[in-house]
Amino acid sequence: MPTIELKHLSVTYLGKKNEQYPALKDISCVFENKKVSCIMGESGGGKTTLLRALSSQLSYDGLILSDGKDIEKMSMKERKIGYVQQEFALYPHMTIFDNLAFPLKLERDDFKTITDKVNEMAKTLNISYLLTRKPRQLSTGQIQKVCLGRALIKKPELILLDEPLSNVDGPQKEDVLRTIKNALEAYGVTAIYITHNLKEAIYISSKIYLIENGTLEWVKPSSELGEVDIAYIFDKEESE
Amino acid sequence: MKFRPAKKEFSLDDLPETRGKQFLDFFKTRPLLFLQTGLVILLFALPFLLTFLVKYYAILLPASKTMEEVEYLSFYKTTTLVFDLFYGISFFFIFVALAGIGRIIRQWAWGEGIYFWHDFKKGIKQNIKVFSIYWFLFSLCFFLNDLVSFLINNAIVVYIISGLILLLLPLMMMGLSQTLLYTNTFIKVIENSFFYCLKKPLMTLLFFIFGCGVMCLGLIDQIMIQAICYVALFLLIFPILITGWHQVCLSIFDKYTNKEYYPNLYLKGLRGEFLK
Repeated sequence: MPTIELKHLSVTYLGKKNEQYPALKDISCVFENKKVSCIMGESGGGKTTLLRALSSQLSYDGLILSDGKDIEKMSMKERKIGYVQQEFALYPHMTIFDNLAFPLKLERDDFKTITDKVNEMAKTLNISYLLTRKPRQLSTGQIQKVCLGRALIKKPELILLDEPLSNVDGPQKEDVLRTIKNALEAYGVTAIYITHNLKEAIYISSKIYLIENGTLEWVKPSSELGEVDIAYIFDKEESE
Repeated sequence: MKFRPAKKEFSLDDLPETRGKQFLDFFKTRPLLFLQTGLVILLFALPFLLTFLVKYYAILLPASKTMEEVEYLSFYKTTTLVFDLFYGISFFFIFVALAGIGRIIRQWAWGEGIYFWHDFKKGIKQNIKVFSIYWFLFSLCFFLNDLVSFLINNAIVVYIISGLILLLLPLMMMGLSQTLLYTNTFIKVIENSFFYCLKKPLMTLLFFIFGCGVMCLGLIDQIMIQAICYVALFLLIFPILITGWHQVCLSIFDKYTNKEYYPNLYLKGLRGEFLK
């Protein structure tokens, strides 16, 4: 699993009248190998933009290195990135089995291998009994578990999770969060996780990165933030 | 793609508990799979439909306009028996489709992933030898049914013999379902079929009545309407019927065989599988 390094990463959006909006400004940091790194910050601060840059969904200035290699020079297949979004990106006409199998079918794996991998993933996520169901039959938490499974099934080297619990109903968040943590540990992936919730960030990650107005404000081990109020941290003086 | 998630979690309790409930669940979760299998069966039934249309429009209809009644009756009987051979050949294609569809239905009932064409081809490979035997028996019964009706003048006797021939239909279908799950000698399968059919006399009777119903399609005067009925039969009714029948068989197998001898197959695909 790779160490991801950002070197002077900047992203600028162009407005309707070609005005420039700097979304990320000169960010340099390292996301540790096989660890979960959490990015926090206010809405519009640049968190999702960072994830989109990492997954090459937009152009950027600077360098993104994966184990020292520039990811722009790597093919999509070589990058091995999994993505879990806020929105539930499942195919509603397919069963859960088929949704999990879909990325493997694209890789043209043989059907026995696909079946074994789907069953293994379902077992890991404790969703074996849901394989014959359709997404509309599942709750928000169950759907997000399936989305996680689909992101992990190709054994990515890097997994990006963009506020995966934001659309999950309240009572199910804890279970889903626990499942995410266990799955990430089991698969030993490098993960970058976005959330607004500090308690969630402390629970899931080893390091927290605060991005505000496109700037990386600080990086701290989660353990340092230990027992903090569940309220979201915005006060810089408190956090330093 | 947008969809609305359920308001509550889908729990184990929501999974179907019985094969009957599972059958109804198929309509909720994958109704289009019925249509997909129906289209495949219809495709493989095209030789049968072609034979049917050729027999009536190319042979019998022109003959009926030129021949006297008595002469035509004799011609009709001969033509029917000859065309039964062609029907027999066309039935082979239907049984090939059933061999492939059988695996898909099995995967469906077991709650396993379905790769439609891959499983269809694999099903044909795995099942065609045994299904060929049933094809031969079915074609023979089909031919004998017509032969008996032509040779014996007593209508009641004809109906009794036809009925006895039709009684073989549920036995054969039970045998086909066993073939999808178990490896057994043909004699053992037939023996088991008798045993299983006697355990579910109502379902056996229902299937027998269905068989009679299909035979009655031949009594429809209008050939085109008959053809449309056959199309509807292959496209819509067969997939539901063979899936439903397989569910009946699975419930019998679960009760009398799987629980004791094949625990890994017992309640497979149902709620019970996850409670073991």
